[in-house]
Amino acid sequence: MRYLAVYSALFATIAVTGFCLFSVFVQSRLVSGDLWARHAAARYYAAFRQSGEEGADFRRNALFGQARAGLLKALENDPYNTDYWMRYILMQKQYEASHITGADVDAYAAAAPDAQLEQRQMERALRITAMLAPSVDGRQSGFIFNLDDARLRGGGEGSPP
Amino acid sequence: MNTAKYFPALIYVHFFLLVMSVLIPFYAPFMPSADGLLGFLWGVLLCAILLWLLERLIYYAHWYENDRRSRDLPQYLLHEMRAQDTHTYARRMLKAFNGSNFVLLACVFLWGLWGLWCSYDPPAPERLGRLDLIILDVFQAADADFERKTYRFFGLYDAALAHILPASMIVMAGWTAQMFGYSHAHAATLRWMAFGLFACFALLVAVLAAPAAYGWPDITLWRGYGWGRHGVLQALGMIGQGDLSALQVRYYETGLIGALLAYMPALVVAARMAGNAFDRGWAGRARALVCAAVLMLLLYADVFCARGAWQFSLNLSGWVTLAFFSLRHRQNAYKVYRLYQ
Repeated sequence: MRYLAVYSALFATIAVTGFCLFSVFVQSRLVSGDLWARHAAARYYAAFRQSGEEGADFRRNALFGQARAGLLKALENDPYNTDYWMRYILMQKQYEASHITGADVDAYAAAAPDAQLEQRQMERALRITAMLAPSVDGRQSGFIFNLDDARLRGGGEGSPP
Repeated sequence: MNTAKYFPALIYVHFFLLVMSVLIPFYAPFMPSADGLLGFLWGVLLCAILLWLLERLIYYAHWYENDRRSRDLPQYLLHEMRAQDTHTYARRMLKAFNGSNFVLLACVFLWGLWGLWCSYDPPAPERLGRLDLIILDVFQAADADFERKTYRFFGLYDAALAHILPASMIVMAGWTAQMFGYSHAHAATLRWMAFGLFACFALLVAVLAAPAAYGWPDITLWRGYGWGRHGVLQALGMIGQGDLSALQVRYYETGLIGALLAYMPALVVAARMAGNAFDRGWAGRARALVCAAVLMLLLYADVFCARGAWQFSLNLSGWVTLAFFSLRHRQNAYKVYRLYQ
């Protein structure tokens, strides 16, 4: 065939162009992780806004649960992301705190049926974070969003910090 | 569109795409869909050129031979001259399908295959293996439906997207540049524009790029830990800390073989450049000098500068410049009308 090189180049180019088009429409795992993490942060934020009305506690707990599940999806897509693991720890802590407001943590851990499992999860997450980023101490406030925001403290929009 | 204008118009499309491609990493450091769209546009441009080439070489001549009887002489002559022009462009463009270009393509293809093989089933060092086990435990405890055995920590598709897509864009941009360079005098403008872009990015690197932190633990890593894994290895403290150069990252991800394979295209271009310097007189030597300077700058940035968003832009503009300046020869073809012979 006289122009075999040109035909081969054409077919190879069509294949590469198809791959590029595929990459436009198919979402990468890192982007999926980012979207799940945003979803989780939105649920977490919404959970803090539940207050005062009837059934607010129930809704808050449900939103914390959804935020935690969303973040697990983000982690499954991007498992070595230290930021996500930090957020997971914070959400887990918040989830516990929402269940045991005013009570002793150890007493809750001894009494609740799933508490030991939750505790083990927390230990594992802390270990992962320590392995991935030894300099992170896990005490940063405002890691998911700014906790000093006046709106979260019930001050309403525009109120002074 | 008039066929005489179609081909020069593609040259301007090439330049537009080149400028877009070198600027986009600065606006969107990680946006696979934007890179994919640009790659798609490069692919469409290359397809358009190749289809045009095939039409000029085969179908157009065939069609015209059949059609000539139905035309009067002046019309026939005008058409013949116009056709001769574009046919000449196409004949000259065929020079871009030379052996050294196919060797270059084979080197890039081998590098891509090697990288995919390293990433498909990468070796897990002991510390990373321990971390993976803990992560799997967390996922399994939280989700009863979690498939522990089939779970992959890295998507092979993501790895291919982040590494093969930029390489394909550089190959397509370089090859189209060579086709234009061989066939059309207007490409000289494009050549100097590409060189100007490269000079701008080289200056930017000289001013802004931080030096890479070097600390080689050993150089006996033949097979790397897979594309996209240098970050986690660095977080685990298993490889050197600080800003890594592109060469270091390539070494950790694809091993010594991958690092060497990535330099093969530069060696092929250097050999072609040496051939030009000895065969083509002073003009060839001047072009070889430009090629040598571009190659040295690319090598310096690859080895000594910390990786950054500018890396892809510098490589793309540099390889397009190399594609223009490493042409074997470009002769102006003189029109010979068969009618008068």
